[in-house]
Amino acid sequence: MTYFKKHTLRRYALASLPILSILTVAQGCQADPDYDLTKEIDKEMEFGGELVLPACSVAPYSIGKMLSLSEGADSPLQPNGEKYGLAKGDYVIVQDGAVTKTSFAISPVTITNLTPATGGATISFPSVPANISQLVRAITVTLGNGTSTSQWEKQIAPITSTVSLSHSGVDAALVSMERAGTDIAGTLKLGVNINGQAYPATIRSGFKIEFDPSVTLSLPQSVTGVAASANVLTFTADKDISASSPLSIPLTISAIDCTKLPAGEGLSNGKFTYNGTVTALGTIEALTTSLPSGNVDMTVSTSFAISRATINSITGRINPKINIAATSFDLGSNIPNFMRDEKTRLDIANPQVYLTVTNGSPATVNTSLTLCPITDGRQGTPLTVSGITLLPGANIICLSSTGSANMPASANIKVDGLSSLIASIPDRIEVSDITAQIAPATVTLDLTKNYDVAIHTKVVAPLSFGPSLSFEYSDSNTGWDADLGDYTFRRVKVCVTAVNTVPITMRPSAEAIFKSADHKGSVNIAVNGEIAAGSLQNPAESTFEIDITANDGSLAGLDGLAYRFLANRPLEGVVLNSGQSLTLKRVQLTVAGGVVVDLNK
Amino acid sequence: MQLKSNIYKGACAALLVSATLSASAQTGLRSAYFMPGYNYNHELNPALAPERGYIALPGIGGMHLGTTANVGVSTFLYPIGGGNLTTFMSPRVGADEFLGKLHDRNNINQYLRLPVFSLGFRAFGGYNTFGVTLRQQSSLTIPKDLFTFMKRGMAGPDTRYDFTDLGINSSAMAELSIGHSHRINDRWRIGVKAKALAGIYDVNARISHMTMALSAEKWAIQGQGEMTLTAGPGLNVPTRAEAGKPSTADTDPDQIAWDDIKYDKPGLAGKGFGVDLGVTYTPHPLLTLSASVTDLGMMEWNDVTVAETPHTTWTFDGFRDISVDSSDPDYASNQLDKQVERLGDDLQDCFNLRRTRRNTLRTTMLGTTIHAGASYTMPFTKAIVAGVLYTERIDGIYSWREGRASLNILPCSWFDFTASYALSSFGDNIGWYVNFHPVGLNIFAGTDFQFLRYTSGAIPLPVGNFNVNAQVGINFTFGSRRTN
Repeated sequence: MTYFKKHTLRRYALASLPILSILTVAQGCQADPDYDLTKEIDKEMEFGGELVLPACSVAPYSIGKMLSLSEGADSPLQPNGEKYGLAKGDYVIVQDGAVTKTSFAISPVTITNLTPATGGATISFPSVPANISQLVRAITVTLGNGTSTSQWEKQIAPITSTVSLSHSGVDAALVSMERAGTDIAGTLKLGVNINGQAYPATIRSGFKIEFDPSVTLSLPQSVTGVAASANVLTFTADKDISASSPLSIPLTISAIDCTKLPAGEGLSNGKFTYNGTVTALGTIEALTTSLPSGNVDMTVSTSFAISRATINSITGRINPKINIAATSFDLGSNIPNFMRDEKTRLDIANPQVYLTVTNGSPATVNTSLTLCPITDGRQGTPLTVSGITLLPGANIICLSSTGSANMPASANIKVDGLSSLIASIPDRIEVSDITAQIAPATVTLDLTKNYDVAIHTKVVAPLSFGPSLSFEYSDSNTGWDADLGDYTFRRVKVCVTAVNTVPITMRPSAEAIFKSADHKGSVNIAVNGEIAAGSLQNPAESTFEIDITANDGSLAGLDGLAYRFLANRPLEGVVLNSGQSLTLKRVQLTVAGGVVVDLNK
Repeated sequence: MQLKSNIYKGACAALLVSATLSASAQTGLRSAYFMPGYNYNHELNPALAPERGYIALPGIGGMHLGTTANVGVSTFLYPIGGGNLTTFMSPRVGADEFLGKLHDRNNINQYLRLPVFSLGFRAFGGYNTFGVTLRQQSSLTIPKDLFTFMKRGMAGPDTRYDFTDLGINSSAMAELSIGHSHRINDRWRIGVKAKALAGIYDVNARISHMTMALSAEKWAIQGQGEMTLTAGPGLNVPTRAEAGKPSTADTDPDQIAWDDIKYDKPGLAGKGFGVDLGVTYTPHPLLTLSASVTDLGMMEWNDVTVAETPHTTWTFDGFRDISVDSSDPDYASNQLDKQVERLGDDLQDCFNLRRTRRNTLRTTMLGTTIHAGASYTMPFTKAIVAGVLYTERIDGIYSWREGRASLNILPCSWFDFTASYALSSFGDNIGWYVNFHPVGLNIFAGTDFQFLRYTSGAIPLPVGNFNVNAQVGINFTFGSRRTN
């Protein structure tokens, strides 16, 4: 009995062990409230601690694309410098202005006050016998120097008379006159009377009519036997005149040399005056066949009557009014925006304004003009350029900052301040206040003609810069949130080694663009370094670094960057060229602090 | 968005695979190794003989299903307050905290052993077993460096990771076994079991070598991977060329056309054999030593498709001449998008499997398990037996080991109970086993991995390492009760 109880109790005790164990395990086995898989599991994930992307390189980025210089075929900015004396591919701003034309004329002088010259002389001969014809063939009078061999040959002084022309109200543009090209038509008459009756006579070869030495005579071709030379008509053959038709010779005074006129004559104070002598010299004989007997008085008479008198050209000084209309040329269309920004100071090294002038007059014209930039209707600081001399004929005048021209020019004028005119590219440049004055010099002018002066303006500005260059080129790159919105970065660092052949130093800076304005200020963007200016011959290598750090630990919401390049410190004298480029030779991107992806969205 | 989706899918897939696949073919419950009423102890050591003859019927005979892992839910999920969880990739989870929980190789194994029919009986001077069993196992191994890379990225100016042995395998086979345990004398007992194996399927994909070197100058991934696949003659794994898919610059005609894989008729995928050897030695009436080697053998898989990745090194030393100017003559090919696309294609190409052989044979060794145990019956009562069991699984990268101590309570002839504690490659675990074995019936249930904390939800999972197994069954016993 005792044994049985002892073993039974032991069995119960042992049997209770598993029950107790099961109860213990059951007690200890319980659901962990921290691990409730029925709830949504947060799926925000962070990958990596730091990720350094192996250095990448970017293909050369042409300056045209970089600065948006290629604004189309209509842009005045084109990489065709080879057309303008520059290297192939050099960028140059070229714009033509409208042609402005004017003309001037000086009125011909029509002389209205005409006073003819008349003169004569009477010579008495001894009593004529009835058979005089048997004694002598003719009686003779010599005007001027001569010799008398018989009583029937007389010598007297030359017959001189004066012709007068005068006209008030001469065009005031005529300042002085050294020579007048004239169209003075007159008729020279010579007749012989015997005892008051017209009598046939013969003007002997060598007879002369001498005008004032200032004039130049000419004869119509219909006149024969008489030659005109300078101011003298000379009979080259005997000339018979009948009783019924005295000698009448039409002639023209084609010029008056005013320098040979006495003081007070010529052009003075708007009045033209000419008093010229007409002197007859030579021998005239009258046949004795019908000579009356008895006392014979032989009268020789001369006259020069003017039918019209006009001055058609002059040699002298003139001062006509030349009014050249203002013109302008557009520049601002299709020009990159940064060039038009008010803060921009391009400091283009040698902008050139070419004035292609056709001066149709024989006179040199002194010109000045004012160039004035107009932007958004507002006038900039005008620049007046004087001392522009337009020679007769074609002129190409180059106005430039340095006094040197890239294109052939007949004259180069250094104009200080020309760069300031296009420090930022205006909408247009107005060319106004164009004054033109004939240079004080003797010219020969046809008073029957109009003289044209045409000015064509052209700007040629090679894009090379001076030390004051300063402009800001800005752009932005957005849309990151759409692509990377689910990724959160803490810090992104970009280290760039750039090779630059663009002759401009560029300092980059950047600002964050967020989808929401609430993020402003939560990101710090530090940019250190700059892109050094280089050239095609000497590329410049430099390094800059962009460090984007989230102040609040997350770059979430970053939608892009607004980046700016402050351009300054150019390589002076190096023109922007389409072959220049910026090459990002080494771009090292470091994502620090991991990338967080929110897969809960 | 596509990238985000891919990352999410990849992470989910990794976790899913991690949670469902990997490692070794288990046999019996190790917690029950020393239990005289446990009818499947001969699977652990063929020298061990159950106390009675038995017969196990399909379905109820003692299905053994489980997972083992050296990582688990708490490795990958972290409480963030309010009952909410986040993943190990969360920025709120420190790299040291997460990586400190990992091992150089992180294994997750799944296995199923389903007795279709099992019989044990005494005859021929010993105990004889006959069984038909369906065996299935899957294993996944992920090297720690993969997670380190995901969590830490570049840890310095020159960071190197080694992803070698990233692998997954899965196989299933039917086993026909005949065993005999023979008592030599009062002290020695030996056992042997012969197994004939019929393969159902076998998949083995493994990165045999993969390193990743990250520096500011270059990223380089050098890798070599291979895959074998068989499910008998009915499985057709065509190449792109065979599938009639156009070949492009980015594709190799020998690449496997995954979408065109067809399985049209079941068939034998392989055949093999195995041997279990065991011995027990009782130097003292209260002390018994035992040892066994199970699954010594090999499989020859037939109709095997072999695919390999190309022997190439993927190198990324930066994008070159990224074209940003549309007037650039190389703009079409050098845009950043295009270069990224090409880089992705090149990377993908490194891991695209090319079929190198088909319908070939592949011989593999069975994963062998070694058991060594010692039990000691308390001198003051035979009802308490203490035991220690050392187990080592030798299966390449899927190997593991365990030491387990158990206290076995045998209060009466028809009821046993044991509790065990183990330290293993999968962490520390407790196990238990309960066995009701009156005459004619043997009802048992037990586990080697009893988790105490489990997740809330429809399917409770252990919070700690993903070690779960259970064996439950009913056998019908016959014959007189004998002990070893």
